[in-house]
Amino acid sequence: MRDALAERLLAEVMGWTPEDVARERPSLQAMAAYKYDEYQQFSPGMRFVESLALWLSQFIPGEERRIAYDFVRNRLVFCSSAEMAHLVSMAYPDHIRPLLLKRSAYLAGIPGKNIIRVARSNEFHMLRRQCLFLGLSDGARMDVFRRCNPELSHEQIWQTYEISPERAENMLKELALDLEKILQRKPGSDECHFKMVFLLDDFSGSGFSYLHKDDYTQDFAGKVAKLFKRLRDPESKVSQLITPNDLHIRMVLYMATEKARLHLAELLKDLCGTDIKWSIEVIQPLNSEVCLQESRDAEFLSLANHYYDSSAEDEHTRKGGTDVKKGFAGCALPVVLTHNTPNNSLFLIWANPEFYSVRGLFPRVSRHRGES
Amino acid sequence: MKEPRNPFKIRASEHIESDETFVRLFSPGVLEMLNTEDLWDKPKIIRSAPGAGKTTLLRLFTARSMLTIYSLRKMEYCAELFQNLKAFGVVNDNGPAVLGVLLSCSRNYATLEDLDVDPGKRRRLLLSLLNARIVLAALQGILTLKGLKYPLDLEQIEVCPSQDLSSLHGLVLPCSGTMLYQWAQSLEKAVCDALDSFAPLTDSSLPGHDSLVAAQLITADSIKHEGSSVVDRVLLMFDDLHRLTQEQRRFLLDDVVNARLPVSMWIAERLEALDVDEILAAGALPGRDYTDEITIEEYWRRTRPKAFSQLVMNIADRRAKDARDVEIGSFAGCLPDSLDGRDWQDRFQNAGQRVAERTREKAKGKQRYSRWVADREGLSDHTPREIALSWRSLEILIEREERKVQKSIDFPMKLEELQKRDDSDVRAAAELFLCKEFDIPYYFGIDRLANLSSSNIEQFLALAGEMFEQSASAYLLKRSSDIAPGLQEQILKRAVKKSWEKLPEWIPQGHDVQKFIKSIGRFSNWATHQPNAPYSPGVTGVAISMSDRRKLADAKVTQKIPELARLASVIRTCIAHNLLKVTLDYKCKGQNWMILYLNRMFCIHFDLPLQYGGWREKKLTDLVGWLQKDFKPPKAQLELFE
Repeated sequence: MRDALAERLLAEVMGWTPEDVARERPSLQAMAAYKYDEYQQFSPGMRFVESLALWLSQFIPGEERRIAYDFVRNRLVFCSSAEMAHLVSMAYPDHIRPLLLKRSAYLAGIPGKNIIRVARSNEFHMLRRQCLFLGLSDGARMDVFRRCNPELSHEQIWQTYEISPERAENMLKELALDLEKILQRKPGSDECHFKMVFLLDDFSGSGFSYLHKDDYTQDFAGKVAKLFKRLRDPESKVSQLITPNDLHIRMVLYMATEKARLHLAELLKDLCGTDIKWSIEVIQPLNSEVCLQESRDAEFLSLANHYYDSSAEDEHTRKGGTDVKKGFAGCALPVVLTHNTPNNSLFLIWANPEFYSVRGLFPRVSRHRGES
Repeated sequence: MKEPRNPFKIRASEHIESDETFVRLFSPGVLEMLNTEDLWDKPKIIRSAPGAGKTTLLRLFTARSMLTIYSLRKMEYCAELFQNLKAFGVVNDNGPAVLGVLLSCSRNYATLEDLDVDPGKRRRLLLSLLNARIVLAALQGILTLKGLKYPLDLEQIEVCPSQDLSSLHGLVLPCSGTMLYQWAQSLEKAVCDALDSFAPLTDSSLPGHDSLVAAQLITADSIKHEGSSVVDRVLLMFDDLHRLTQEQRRFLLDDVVNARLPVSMWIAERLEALDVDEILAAGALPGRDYTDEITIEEYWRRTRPKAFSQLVMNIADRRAKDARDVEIGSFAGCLPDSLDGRDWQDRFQNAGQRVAERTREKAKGKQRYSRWVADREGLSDHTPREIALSWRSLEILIEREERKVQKSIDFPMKLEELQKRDDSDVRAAAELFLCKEFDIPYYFGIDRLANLSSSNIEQFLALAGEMFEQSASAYLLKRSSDIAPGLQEQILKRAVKKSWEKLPEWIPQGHDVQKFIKSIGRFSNWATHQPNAPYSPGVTGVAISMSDRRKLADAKVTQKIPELARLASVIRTCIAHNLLKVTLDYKCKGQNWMILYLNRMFCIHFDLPLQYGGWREKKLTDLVGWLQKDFKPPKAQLELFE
């Protein structure tokens, strides 16, 4: 649809006068051009203004549409591709490297303030090479991460946490070769392991899909639990990548809620026990202020409550413990990522009109078919 | 490139990528300011506040723009521009006749001052870097004009300067374009390496030059293609001279420009480059007769106020036509400039009746006004607007008469006296008062929009852009693109309020500046809206005596009195950013005055008329006081600001 047609449609839906259009259009157009039009799950030919007009048209004219529009203008959080790439590019230099420097300073017995000395030390070069960076999903953008950090070897960055035995063997072989260059000698068998494993991902709303306990068995489940299982299985080739009593696992999330961080911290403590050190790093934390709250956002939450299709619920969504009016696990997030809207955001934002009776502003493509 | 939705939002010409769009949006009226006798002979210094169009003007003379104009000369939107440039001898029927070499001074020249070498050496390095970049820009321009590829086709260029330049290290003349290119490149690299180096600099590592020798290398006679000159004239243009350090800038202006170069030279800089003394002299410095100086806003304001209106209308039409999804032929046509509609006539009728009642009450029992009142009573065949204005002006005149200490004998005054006193200034004040009292729009129509721009094109575009947004929105909804006067005023007030609120963010010393302007504005409002309109049509500025002005500009005085230094600095900033317009040596009451008029945009913020001419004298102590404490009107007038 041409821009002008979409804008006219939006004006009609909102009952705007020319003065209203003059006031609203420049910023809408600017935001559409700057971010919103790049949303990757719009149907072919669809752009933001058209989607907005169609989304608003499902509400009763007048007050409901005003509330919905105000939500878009004032509360929506859209993380663009460029913004996410920026977070990815910050992850190593601003969050991981300082940690390595601190640890290396301790190992080398150099005061931490002497950063250049630490950065030139063998301890730092060794530790940096003994780090393994694994992506927890496509969103981790490990390709961007790799290109942003040329000081890391390609052989220590892998796009997924599922590693084949052949791949693991090759990683160890390359690690040994690089350590030999750094140490100018054959590395010892205790040195040829990864000592720090960084698990990277783009977004976490609840932390549930990474780690949770099964309702019935109380066993750990989720991506991180799966990885741990392999790392601890002596039969697995992957377990040879590390030594369990000398391992630091660090989750690096480019964007995550406080709720997700607390959830993961609580379960990782149990999962890692005393032998494996762990920590969580969030590059862009989303504090509770970002989430919609009854005290402040009652009007829009009322709309979200009313415009809902319960067929969105299934065995996957029920694991969150609530319906999905406020999104998975009741997170009530107003967040959209450029490649897909997280299911922790309100249903009214991501409902896909192909499957539900409600239309979302940024329709989501679901990982679980069950959602359809 | 996608056409912009609101082309008024494109401000700096650097942001217009396409030469075709640039030429299409360029209004030939701008060239009027170049109509001087010594267009090419004397170096020309073009100054203005940001946004007056310096860079736009210079960009027009670059090779790419020239070629574009030549190729589009038959197009309707380009024909006038082509003819104007032809009259200046810049282009002819065969193509561009001038090579414009544009050099921005914003590219790391200022960092040369940080080098740990003696000042003489730093100057020589500055000249080296300028020489290198002038040569490179000129070679690129020549190839562009000839339709050749840069730098691949440089071998086709010959460089044979008429003067002996054998002293140039590393360059054997005559030479090919390629040789000159390599020489300039290595020269630029050597200076940049020195800039980037952490190691101490040695004399041998610094390629210094004594003069702007590049000007000798790139003359029209020096550079040849296939044995003949490519252009009739070379124009060297320095933009953003204010980006240099004060020492560099002064050196270039005093020594280099004065050296009478064999090429024409134009220099553009912001007024902010000038110090207090220079800026309060508004560019008219003594001993600068070797240059022509144009202060753009001053040119339009003093010399060609009508032409500026026409210019901005032309600019607006060009922008409106360039918009995507909107078809608006004439921008001025979207801004009705009369209040003849029925709604307004009713409003004027009501206002007229109320003012008439009030005036009759004031004249009641006073014989001397009887003929005047009778005259107004007989205006029934006039429009309601005319009747209301006539009554309001009569009310002002009665107020004036009543305030006289020595009142005239209560004998009917003649109608001729009324006609004499009821002049255009009183009428203008009456209109302003009437509009304010009865909520009738005053700031509307293209002429007042042009006035509100204070001779600054960027300011015009900002205000007109808001108007255009409204017209485009109405067009989108298939309604009339015309903007009713009341709405025009609302839009303008909103836009000005936004600029006013942002003032502390985008102007140096923003809070002081805002406080100062606010006091001038509030004072002007107070002085204007007196019932007898003593300074009709109104006060829009303040003045200090020229002797006070000398104190402000005297560093010895300001060093002793910090408050004066602060005031001088605030006034300097205001003038440099076109927030105040300065008029020097205005003779009045047996004294000479420096008048500081408000930017017309602020007149809308303080409910003032847009005409110039009304000002009140102030002492330096008053102005210093306004920086510490806002002007407060006498108690009786406070309600005007509530």
